[in-house]
Amino acid sequence: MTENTIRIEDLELKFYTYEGVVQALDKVNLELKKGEILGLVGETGCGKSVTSLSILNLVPTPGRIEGGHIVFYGGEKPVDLLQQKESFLRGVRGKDIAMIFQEPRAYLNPVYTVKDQIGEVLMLHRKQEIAQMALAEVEAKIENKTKTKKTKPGFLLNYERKTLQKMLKNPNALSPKMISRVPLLNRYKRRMKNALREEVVRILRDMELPDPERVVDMYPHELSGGMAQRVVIALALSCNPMMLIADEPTTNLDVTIQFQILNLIRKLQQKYGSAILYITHDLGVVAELCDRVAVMYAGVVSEVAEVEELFKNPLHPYTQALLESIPRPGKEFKSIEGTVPSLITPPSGCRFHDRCSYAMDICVTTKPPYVEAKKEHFVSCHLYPGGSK
Amino acid sequence: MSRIEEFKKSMGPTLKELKFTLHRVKRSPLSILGMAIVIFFTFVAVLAPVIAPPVFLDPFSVWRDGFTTIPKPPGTPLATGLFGQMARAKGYTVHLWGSESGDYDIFYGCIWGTITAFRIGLLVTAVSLIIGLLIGAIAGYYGGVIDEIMMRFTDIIFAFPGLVLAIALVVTLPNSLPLELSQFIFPTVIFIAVTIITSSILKMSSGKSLLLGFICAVAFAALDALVLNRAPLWLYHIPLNNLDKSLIALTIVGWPGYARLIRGEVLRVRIEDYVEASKAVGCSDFRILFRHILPNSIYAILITASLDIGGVVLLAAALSFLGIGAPRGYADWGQMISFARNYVTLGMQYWYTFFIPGFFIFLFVLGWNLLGDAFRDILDPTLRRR
Repeated sequence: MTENTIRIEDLELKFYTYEGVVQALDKVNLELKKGEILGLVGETGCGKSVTSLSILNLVPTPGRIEGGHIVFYGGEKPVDLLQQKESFLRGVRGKDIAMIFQEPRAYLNPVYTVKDQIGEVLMLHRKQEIAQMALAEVEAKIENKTKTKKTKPGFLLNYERKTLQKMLKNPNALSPKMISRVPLLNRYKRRMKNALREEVVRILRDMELPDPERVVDMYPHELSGGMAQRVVIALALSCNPMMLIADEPTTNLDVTIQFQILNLIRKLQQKYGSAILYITHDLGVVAELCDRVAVMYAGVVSEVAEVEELFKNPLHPYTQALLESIPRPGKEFKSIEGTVPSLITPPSGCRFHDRCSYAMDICVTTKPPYVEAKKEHFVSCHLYPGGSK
Repeated sequence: MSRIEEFKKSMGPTLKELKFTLHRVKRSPLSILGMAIVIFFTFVAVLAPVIAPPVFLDPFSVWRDGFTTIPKPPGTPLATGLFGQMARAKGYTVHLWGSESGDYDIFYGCIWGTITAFRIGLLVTAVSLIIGLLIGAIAGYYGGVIDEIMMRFTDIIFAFPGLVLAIALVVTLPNSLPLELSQFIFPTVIFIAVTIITSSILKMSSGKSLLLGFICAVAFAALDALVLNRAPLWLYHIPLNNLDKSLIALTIVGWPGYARLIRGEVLRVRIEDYVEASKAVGCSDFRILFRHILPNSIYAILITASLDIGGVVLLAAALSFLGIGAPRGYADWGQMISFARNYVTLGMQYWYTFFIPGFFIFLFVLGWNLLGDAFRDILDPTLRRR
């Protein structure tokens, strides 16, 4: 379990806006191990979502990645995603690294049914498997004909088999695409559609959706919030990705549905074995779900540790303040003093120093290094200089 | 009955939506009127050979029974000359709706003019829609320099008044397709045919079949240049009459409007969350643009297009009225009115010369406009579920 899925090294990202250069990420370091759930916690605008988008190289236009590496251990050897071509990344997106979003219904295309949308992902990344399923059906039919009725399969059926076999060999072959509009010759398409539908129903059943046969033909506006979120999760998990990025997937759901979705995510994580990067600002969810937590503040990762460790003895002053500010009954409500700094002119040195009660002179002048203060407990603060104490 | 119920239960979402759409249509009387008018004209166009059997070899040339300049009122018997006898042989005895100056039959011109109107309206709108769709969508999606170049180009066409540009184009376009261009037609057809046949029927690999298609096309071109140089020249001579030229001119005038509209819609849709989601599952740009963005932005353009079909017919009629549209004697409503030009000022004595074709134009445009309004009510997702 110590192998990595993805390692982010010294990621720097800037937004070139009209008001000035926003230094959204400043040397972010993160590791996601195989099969773990890593919670990424922080206030709004601290760079959580941008970190996840830069993994897929989908940072919106004024933003630009200025430096660092994102090493992905999916293939035979590790690759730096930031150095890859767009065509390579398209193969990774959705197949190896998938994403779940905050507002499920806004992330489903309103003009397509659930089947169309999940089917599209399957056809993009798992075309061969679908062709295999369709081929099996055709072969069964041919066998049925030759054995029971003692007749030879007709030309069309044979042709169908040939086309599917070709597709199996090369999913992007030209000829199936060309005849896809020719009537009679494009029967293979209908066969594939049936196979696709079966597969989508199977995936939806995995998501514990009630009555998946009915849901596959629904449009997004006919789904309830919880159903839509399950469909979006199905969309993400349909290709069995190595890594799943969940960007606040339960924020807009009510508490009971949130509980169900969290349970589902945990269950699916055990079944599919994907590593999950779970982005949220809800510390309760983190405590419930995650194995490790990373705390971000103003574009910097300030502390990374295992959940229990972090909640029991937080090292970074910001984490301590954050844990203090969780509202609990019978306790006076505390909040962190000051406001989140503007990232156009970030504070010098440690970005937290003007709100920190332990601030020292060095905090104003130099940026604290990212060190392993205890075993498996990383922190970026001048209170813990150099290694374990 | 039970089978119908069963069918209703098994209806897919597409059928259900269609049913809902028809339900919406049934509820608004104006859209029914518009649809009725358009369907009426469709029938007229399809049944034109039955309603008005052609007299001359070219069915689109309006038959005449003489060469007098003065129009004849409805019900005038045919003259006894050669043309009159030809018309009698096809079962005509009188000018049913009168005749234009030059003894052209109004009834025949109006009936066959329907086909011309459909051809102008649908062809011009469809082609300019496709051009505008491609250019506007690409400009809106990619933005930046591509957007600048394409939109400034549309601005240039916008800068001219539409009718004036159309007139200028009709006058300046050549009378036949340039030989340099038409020579490419056969090799292109051969290339496409060979590629499709080798790859889909002979199951060659895509690279091989493309190469083979290219070789065949080049071989044909070489053979053509060496051996067949003279013989099929008539094949390459593709004449453009004034009507074809006005179709081209109206298309050139028409597409920038669609390009503008679709660009705006694409700009609106491309920042939607589901477009980002489709990027995150690994869709290519082409796929995102044509499968995810266009279906969500095409409604406004479809509505405008259906409204424009009437407008295009009006513009073509204007060109014909000015004498640079359809060739003389061609069945076209605008030209029918143009024949009546000298008689419009003479009061109501010659009312049939301009009123009947004018009424046809009026009805046709009205029908498409009502249908366009109906389309808007039906297709626009924001108005749909009220």
